Amino acid sequence: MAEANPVYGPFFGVMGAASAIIFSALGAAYGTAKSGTGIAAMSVMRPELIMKSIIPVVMAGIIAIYGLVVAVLIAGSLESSATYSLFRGFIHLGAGLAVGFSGLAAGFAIGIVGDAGVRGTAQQPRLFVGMILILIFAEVLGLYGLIVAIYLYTKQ
Amino acid sequence: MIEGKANELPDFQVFRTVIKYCLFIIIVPVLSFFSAKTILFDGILRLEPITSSVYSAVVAVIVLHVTLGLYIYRAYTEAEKPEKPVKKD
Repeated sequence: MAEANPVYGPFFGVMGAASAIIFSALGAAYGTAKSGTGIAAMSVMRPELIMKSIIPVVMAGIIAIYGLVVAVLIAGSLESSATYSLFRGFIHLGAGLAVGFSGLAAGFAIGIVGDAGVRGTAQQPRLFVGMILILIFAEVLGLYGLIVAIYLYTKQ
Repeated sequence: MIEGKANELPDFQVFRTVIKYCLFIIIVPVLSFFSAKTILFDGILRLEPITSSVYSAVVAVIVLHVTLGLYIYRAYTEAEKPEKPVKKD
């Protein structure tokens, strides 16, 4: 058995693919649920704002798509341990953790901002622009994780 | 009648718009990922598997943000319409 291709090499790659989607989905679920409670509380009095207030939910869903993209990329290049070096396993684990935990952080931020922002928009409509800007900055945190993950993934 | 109902779209129309945009946001990036990979990067340009995957992931993420921008634009212009004058007796 070559030292660079141990039999447990693909384990790290598989864990990378799994952690990419698991942690991103965790963040997206928190963001959806937290801003969903805000939408539900706000819509009782201002049902005409539902279309505007769905935006945090859509943005939380996009966090999960980041994780999905990286998980699909990693899963596509997994091979049996004969051709899959330990280094590639480490690279894939790092890529998965990068996008996973960035997505978790961004999902938490989107949830909290979405909850407070949607409730505030119901009382002061001019807050909407501010809420969108803050949501975009929270979203970009997940995008940074995606960029690092793709950059890591291209190292061979 | 609930207050503010006069200048609001009918419920079914709002539901249809939201569903349309949500499906659009979910389906179009996934389609663009696989179509960019199989048709453009693997078929026409004949890139390496890893390079073509990365490029199509970048394409999918850009398309995703364009669709999100379209939804935000739609939601933003929704309430900007001038309010109908409410008739009072």
